[in-house]
Amino acid sequence: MEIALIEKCKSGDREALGELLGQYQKPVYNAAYRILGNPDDAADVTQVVFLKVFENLDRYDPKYRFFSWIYRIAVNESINQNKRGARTQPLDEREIPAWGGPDAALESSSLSEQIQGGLMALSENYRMVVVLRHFSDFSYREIGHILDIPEKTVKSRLYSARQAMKETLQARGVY
Amino acid sequence: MLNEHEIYLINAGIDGELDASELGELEALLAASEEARTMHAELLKLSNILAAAPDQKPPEELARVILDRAAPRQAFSLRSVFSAFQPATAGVAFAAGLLATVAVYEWSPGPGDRSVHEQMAGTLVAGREAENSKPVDSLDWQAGGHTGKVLLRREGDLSVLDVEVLGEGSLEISFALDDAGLDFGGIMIGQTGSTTENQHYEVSGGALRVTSQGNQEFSLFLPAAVQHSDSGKAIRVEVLAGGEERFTGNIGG
Repeated sequence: MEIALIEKCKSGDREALGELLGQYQKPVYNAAYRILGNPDDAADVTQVVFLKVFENLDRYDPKYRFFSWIYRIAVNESINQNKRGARTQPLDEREIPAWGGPDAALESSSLSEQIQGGLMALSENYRMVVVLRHFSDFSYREIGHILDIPEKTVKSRLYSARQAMKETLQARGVY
Repeated sequence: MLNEHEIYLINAGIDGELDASELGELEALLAASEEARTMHAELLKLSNILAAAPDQKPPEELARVILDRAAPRQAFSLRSVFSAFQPATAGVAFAAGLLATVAVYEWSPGPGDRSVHEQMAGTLVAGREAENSKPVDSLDWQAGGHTGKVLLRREGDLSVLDVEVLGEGSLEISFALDDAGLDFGGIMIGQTGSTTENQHYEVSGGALRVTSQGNQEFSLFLPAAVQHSDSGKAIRVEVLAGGEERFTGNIGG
């Protein structure tokens, strides 16, 4: 079914493009947001990603999930956006409210912000694997394909990233 | 102290990456080791906290903007860039520096004669082949409600910039050609999605400035300047929209 949709998109069928966009826009935007930490940058990257996807549908290799192909483009564009100077606020300029502990944090609507602060404190490499595993639900193999790194590296990077993330969230009173 | 395999089992167990045999190993490990149980509980807690983060909602207009941009792009793809344009027509439109017709231009470099290019309108030719075109770099920008993309590709000894602009109102884009060791060879205006009556360009001070109104697509053909040998340098792109908001970026190099 997805292949049929892709074929329609290749022929420039606007309705099909809209359908593809409807399926993947939100997850791509969310991943970009978690990587970049800024909604405007995430919107920019999402836009560029889908324009590239539409332009390069001929290059899609069906042996991989279509979704992981899109993510590979999204990750690369997010890295590029970071290089160009993303609009991410430095952590020390963020408004971090005082927390009354894990329960209070979980009840707060700002949990997402706190988690985002924790993510932004990670190195880009660590942040990527955490986002792809925990927010996008990719397998180790798929993460390796998306980031172009061996599966073994995914595992070790994910372990270290989680340790760092745990410490960061502990410091913020979220963990 | 947990060993590497045991740490793997705990992490992969949380991630649902274990097969039946490994799951059995993990269960045995958790039953036997307090340290393993602690690590497992901590990772599970972290995983649950991350899972509790709500999804972010993309801007409502984002999908429409992407679809609007996608349509003209498909008519402006690299391989069809030449076939998408009508055959060359006489360069009458260049008389006042105003391009009002669809045309394909090719440079005719007078060796070392920059004065020609400073005032040039382009020498008319038709049908350059685009098969050897190689994408090199791309640059996306936003400024004052406009969005745009510049794609740099090499076509033989030519550098070509494919430029797309979307948005209302006037916009000025300048390309620092001199600094990049490039000359202005010609401009080609796209048929699809372009309003060719309101576009103007000029070459001065070592830069090419294109002023346009509304949605535009055009390609710039940039031969290496005779007196420069460093045409592999980055091209600085500046965008001025509404007289205020600026974007500055580099492409290539």
